[in-house]
Amino acid sequence: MKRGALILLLGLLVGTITSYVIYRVSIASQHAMLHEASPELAWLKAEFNLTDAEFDRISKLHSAYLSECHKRCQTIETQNKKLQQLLATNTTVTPEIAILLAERSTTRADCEAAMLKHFLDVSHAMPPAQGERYLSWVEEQTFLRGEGMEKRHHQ
Amino acid sequence: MLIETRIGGRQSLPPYQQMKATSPRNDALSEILGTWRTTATLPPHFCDGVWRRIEQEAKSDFAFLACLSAWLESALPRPKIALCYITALLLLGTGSGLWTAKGESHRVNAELRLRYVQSVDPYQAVAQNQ
Repeated sequence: MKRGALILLLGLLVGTITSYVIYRVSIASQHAMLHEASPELAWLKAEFNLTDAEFDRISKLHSAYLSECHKRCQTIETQNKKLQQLLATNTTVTPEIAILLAERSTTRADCEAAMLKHFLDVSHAMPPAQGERYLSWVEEQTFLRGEGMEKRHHQ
Repeated sequence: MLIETRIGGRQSLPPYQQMKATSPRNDALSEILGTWRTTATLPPHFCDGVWRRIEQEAKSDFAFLACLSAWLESALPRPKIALCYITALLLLGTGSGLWTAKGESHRVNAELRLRYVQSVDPYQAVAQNQ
């Protein structure tokens, strides 16, 4: 009985340890990505099979884009606050409100144009096939797919 | 059990479905049953037998454990069986590890993909926070 029980336990132990080791080894690269400085860029590198040189170029583009994007977001935020103040004191669409709405739309359009330019720059920094794949993927995932209020009105 | 009914046919319906409360024949049967008394005695050790059967029922719950124990004692220590057993658990462990890792890999990938999209598209980040 003792020998049989020992083999039984040994089998269970071997199974458990194997399962754990296989799991850790298989997931190691993914978990390593999570601990990188920019996990999302590490994911991009792995997903689109980028070389180190391509990855460096794209990382620089990403940083430059984010800094400009942040500025535009701040501008929109300022415009939003100003609009809220005007709406609190006016009950009609005054010329000032109309101008502010137009300005905010222009800033948003600039934002979208810059985003599209960034996607194109990133796709050009990739090998052609991967660049095409990136562009079609990013179109599906971002504002480019055009699922805004137009779609809501059609529902 | 077959009982002849009032209409005369022999049917295979259970007696309670064949009996009719208004039937004079059933009244007669009830009367006979009411007067029926048995003088037969129980067989020897009848009560002991009943208790023994109850104990055996209780013991059967442990039969599986007893079988397992016997198998562990006799079969598992044999080298071939032990090797098969260890190999099977090794394969099971490998499969389980790969399956769990696959699920986790999908989860991490989805999370990082979302993080990238949110980092480049502020509208997505706002939509996600709402």
